Formats: sequence, C-alpha cells, structure tokens
Amino acid sequence: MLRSIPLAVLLVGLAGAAAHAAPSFAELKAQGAQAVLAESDRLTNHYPTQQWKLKMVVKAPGTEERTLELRMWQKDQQKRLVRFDAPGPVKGLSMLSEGKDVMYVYSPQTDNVRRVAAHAQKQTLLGSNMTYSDMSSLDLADQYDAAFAEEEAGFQWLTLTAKKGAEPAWDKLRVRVDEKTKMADTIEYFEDGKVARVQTRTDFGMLDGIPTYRKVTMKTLSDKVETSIIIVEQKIGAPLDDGMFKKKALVRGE
Amino acid sequence: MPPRPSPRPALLVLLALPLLAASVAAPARAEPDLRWRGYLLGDIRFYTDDELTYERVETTANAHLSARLDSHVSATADLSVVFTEAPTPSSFADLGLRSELDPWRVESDALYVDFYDLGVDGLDLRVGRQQLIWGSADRFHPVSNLNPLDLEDPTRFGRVIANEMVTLALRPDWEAGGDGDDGPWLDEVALQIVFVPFFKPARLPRSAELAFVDEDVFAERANTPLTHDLVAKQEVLERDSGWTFTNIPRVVLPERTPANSMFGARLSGRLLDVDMGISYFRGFDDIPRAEKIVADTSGIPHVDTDVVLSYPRVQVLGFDAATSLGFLDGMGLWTEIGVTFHDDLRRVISTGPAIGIDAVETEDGAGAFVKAVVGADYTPVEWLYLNVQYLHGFVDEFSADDLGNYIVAGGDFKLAHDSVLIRFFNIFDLDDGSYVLFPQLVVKPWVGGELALGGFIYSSSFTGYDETRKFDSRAAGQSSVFLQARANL
Repeated sequence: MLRSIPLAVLLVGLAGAAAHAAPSFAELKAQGAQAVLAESDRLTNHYPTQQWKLKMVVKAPGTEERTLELRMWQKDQQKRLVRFDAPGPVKGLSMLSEGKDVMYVYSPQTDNVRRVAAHAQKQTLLGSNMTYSDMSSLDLADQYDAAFAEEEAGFQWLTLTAKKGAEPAWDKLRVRVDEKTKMADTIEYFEDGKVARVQTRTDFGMLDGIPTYRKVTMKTLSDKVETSIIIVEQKIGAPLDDGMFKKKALVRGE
Repeated sequence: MPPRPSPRPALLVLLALPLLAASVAAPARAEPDLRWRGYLLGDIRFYTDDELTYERVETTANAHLSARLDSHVSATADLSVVFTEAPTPSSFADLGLRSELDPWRVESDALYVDFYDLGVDGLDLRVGRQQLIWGSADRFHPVSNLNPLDLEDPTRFGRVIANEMVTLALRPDWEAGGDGDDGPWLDEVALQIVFVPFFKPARLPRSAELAFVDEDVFAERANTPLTHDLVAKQEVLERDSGWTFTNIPRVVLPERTPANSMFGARLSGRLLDVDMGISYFRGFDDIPRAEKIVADTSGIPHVDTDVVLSYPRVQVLGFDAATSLGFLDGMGLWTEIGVTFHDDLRRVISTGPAIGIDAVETEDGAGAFVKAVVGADYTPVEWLYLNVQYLHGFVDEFSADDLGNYIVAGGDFKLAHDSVLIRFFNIFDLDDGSYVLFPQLVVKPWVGGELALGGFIYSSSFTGYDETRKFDSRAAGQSSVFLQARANL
C-alpha cells in the first residue's frame, strides 16, 4: 500500500530558513537528535507562506517519461492551493486543501467545484509514486522520535520511530542530515523492516535568497518508479491573502 | 433535415476576445492572462445487433479559452465543432453543398463574462452561457435544474446544456469560530441567485421518441384511465377493423415571456466539516409530457394523432450535503434531496365519435414528490476507486407514483502506473431488475493521448425487449460498443 510521502517533506531541503541566528550543528547535536530533527523541520516548513512553480517528472518502467507542471501556494502549513498547468489531461485541474480532511477540486471538464473526501488523497498523480496527500506539510519531529545513528563525513544519520499516539504513514524512517545545511538530503522509508523508498535531494543553491535543494527524487525500490520534483521558481514569505485559499478562488480561477 | 449550424455569433465572440483584451485599460495587468486547453476526439460506435449497425461516427474538436483581463474581469469561451460524418444529400444540388456532404454542428458549454468584487468584496456577476450544477452527488442531481440535461449520449450521463443566465454570487470572506487550534465551525458561505431568461428543454436520445410513436411502448406508458381506454380502443380497431394509427409528437415550449423565465437561489456553506446547501428553483421540468392527444379521423382507416408535448411548471426545494468520514478512513458521503412542487397535470384526449373519447383528465393532481440521492465513495488502495449511489426517482421520472429506486455503482482500477484504466459503472433498477452495464478500458500509453474501448449494454441484450421493465424497454435505447481516440491539448 502506497504510503504518504508529504510533499513538503520532499520539499525540505528545498527551502532553508533565511536569516535568523540559528544554532550551529554542533550546538544542535549537543541538544540531542530530536533537536537536530526539529531544526530541519523549522528550516523546511516554518514559513508563513510558500509558493512554487514545479515540474514533476515520472519515470516508470515500461512507460514513457511523463512530466507534470504545477504551481503551489501554501500558507500556515494548513492551507494549500495546487494548480496543474500541463499536460493536457490535467490542465486546469485545481485542488484546494483547507486542512487535513477538507479538500475541494475544480474540474475543468465540468467547470464545477466539488468537495472531495479525504480518501481521494490516496490516489496517485499521473502514475507517480506521489499521492494527493503528499501535498501536506509535516513536521517530522511531531510524529517521530529521533535517535542518532551513524555519522559519515559531513553527514549525520538519524533513526526515526513513530511516536506513541501518532499515526504517520511510515513507522520508521532513516534521515541523513547535512551538517552544513542542517537539512535532510536523504530519507529512507521502511516497510516491514526493509527500505521501501528512498528520497534524495540534490542541486543545492540559493533560490530567491533561500538555501534550497532544487531537485528532490523519490524512488520506490519494488517497482522502480522514480518521481523527481524540480523547483522552477520559488517565493518564500511573500504575502498571500487568506481569500486565495477559499472555494471562491477555485471558482474564479485565481 | 437537421438544423443548420449557426457558428457565426460564437466565433465572433472568440475572435473578439483578444480585441477585447487589447482594448480594456487594465491598470492591474499589463497584458491579459490567457489560458487555453482543448481536445480532439474520434468516436466510433456500433449497435450490438446482428448487423453491427453504426450508432454514430463523430469527430470533435474542442477549444476552451479563459482570459483574465483585469483583477475584476474575466471571459471564458468554450467551443466544440462536431462532425457527424453522416452525409445527407438527397438531390443532385446537394452534391455541391459541403454542408450536406460533410455535416457538422457547433456546441458551446461556456461563453460568459465574469465581473468580480462588484462594489463589495466577494460579489460576483456572471453573464452569458453557463453550466451551473448544484448539489453534492455524482452525475445525478435532483436539486440542480437550471440547465437542461443532455441525454442524447448515454455514455455521458449527467451532462447538461449551457443556458444563457445571469448569476449573481456573494462569497464573503467570513467565518465563525476558528479561535485557537480549531478551525471555524462555519465558513465558505455563499449565496447564488440565478436568472434564466429562456427555458430550454432536455436533449433526448433518439429512442425516447418510441415512448410516443410506438404502440407497444406507448401502451406500457399509459398511466391514467383515459389513456388506458384510448390504448384499448385502438387495439380493438386495429385488430377488428384493420385501422392504422400514427402518433405524431409535437413540442410546444413555454412562451418566451418574463413570466416564463426561470429563477434559482442557493445558500451554501461548510458547517462543522459538512458542506451543505439549500436551494430553490422556479421554472419548468425539462422532460416533456403529453398534454394533448388529438386524433384526426378524417382519413379512416388511417388515423394521425397529434401528441402535443409540453413541460410542466415546477418549483423545487433542494437540500444537499457532503462530507468526509475521518473515522472510516476518509470515506466520502453525500446526499441530495429535491422536493418538486407542481400544478395539476391535465391531459386532453380528443378523438371524435369514431373512437369515442373526448375528455380532460388529471394525470396527477397538484402536489409534490421527492427525488433523492445518497452516495458514498472510497479508495481502499491507490489503484482502486469505488463509488455507489442510491437514487429514488430517475432523471426522466415525474410525479409521486412514477418514481423508481435504483443503485448506481462501479469503480476504477488503475494499472500499469496509471497508463491503463478499467472502469466499470452500472445502473440497477431495484423495482424490476433491469440494468445497464457500462464497462470501459482506457489506455494512455503516452502523455496526452488515450484510447478507450467500451460498451453501454442494456439488460435487454440478454433478456430481450420488455416494455414493462425500464432498461429493457426499446425507449431506453439499444446496446452499443465504442472505440474512442482522444488527444488532450
């Protein structure tokens, strides 16, 4: 069963927090693995607003490579608007999430906005190993307990196990944190004790003044499906009106 | 003779859009934001009779353009050109006419202008051809009556025809509650008021005519003492005197006057995670009924009977709700309830002394009936989608005594990384056991293109025609199989 890989976790590394005086990696390490994980979450998710223009490239064995072009706006980690620009079958399709269980879809075929139940978020996008629920933003530190694992040159591995009471999609993760960026550049997802998926982040640089991994690739080991998300444009912290995350915006096509 | 298409007005609007975009002074935008999409579709269908008769062969080109001209103005145009691939020349002169050799028609699902925040934030006005579907259910909407149904193609059930409308919508940025970590208990409130100047009837499948012109089908649909009497007398005259009867249906639309314009209003919102709406509609039902049956016995032993079809005036009070059940793994649940109020449904039957019926009857007294839909959907695993709905009252049923009970159920199986879709949707009549099967295989091996193979199979294909059973009746239609090729642009 496909597990949810939060897209914003994928987009971790895609945006590092700018400017405030952050602790060094050594200081974080002294505070413990949970502090290292929490800092990675802060650098990833803790922005008032995030906007992206993305390309999602899906490579599945036996099928032609497919590319999705989409734009995404996010506010307060809860509100999310996604608009698909290409290819033809999804052009014009828009999805609005106003929380975990509230999602609306605008279908260009019917020119209509419809409430979609939470189960629909399990469905994959264009044959990728990404689902609609992967658009959600997730602080790993809220769902997992972290412990130090091995250290490589310049990298610290963490082992994450699900907290009691939390119900994340994956019971166990292994996360590699880059000591320079303090952000994860590799995540391994475990199922039945074995690595089922691996996420890697590459092409690190400054984008709109924010340290960013521009490319995130998710590979499923069982069926060899590989989905890459490439940031084409990014804007962090720009004001986004709350009205943008309402049905009205879907109806208007804003 | 099919009506001549009149593409000019629609094409002019499309051509005018860029000019309009260029001429509007738009301080907020340097250039209009233009977005387009479209598709090409080839559709070949066969009836599943012994001869594999063609049901249709059509090719469609669609273009959809939306232009955001300003933060307060946008325009949308949708145009389809459908070539019916069925030449109809009947004279030598017709052989010189492209329109006879290569007939086509134009359809438009949208041609409207939007004005946003008209003096008040969230107050929007939309004028033009629109499709406005109210309700939370899937394809079957007892509460949605502003647009007539397009029932001509059964594989596209739920489709409607755009109407010229004026829609005023107020969607304030207002919510109640939402303090702390809890979301608001009431938000997404919206009020829509709609004015439809002209009534437009539903587009019916070719087989529907049998309900009025075929003796056996008509006889089964006789639902009053007078119509039963008429059928009985005709049968005797045919059997004993060799008479023949031809019913000629004729449609009479409501006059185009302001008194016959249609009106609707809907108040909606999300209350404690349940999206709901209450609505009101005043207008006409879009499915015709026989209001007058007048037999011309001047040509005995042949009788031509004029069957005048009209559209009942109705008011519909609607309620709809949809939510997601978190405790059931996010299962979707919805309902729609439409209460239709109507006047006396009178019928005149006049045959003269030769047949002996001259009377006015009340088919159904003034009153109300309830149509309802309850449905649920679920995705147990990412490659499987399931959907089931219970319907009380089908789209063509009217009056309390006429409403049947149905299950519409099916699912999607996504295979080979979404490049293969097996879809299987079906309708079951719970009262008489008849059904319709709608299997499809859709293959999308490359981006933008898809091939679909499928069938629309009535239970009559297995049991034979039976006019006492809804989907076994010849008026319901004939089973068909299809091949479609589509490119999405």
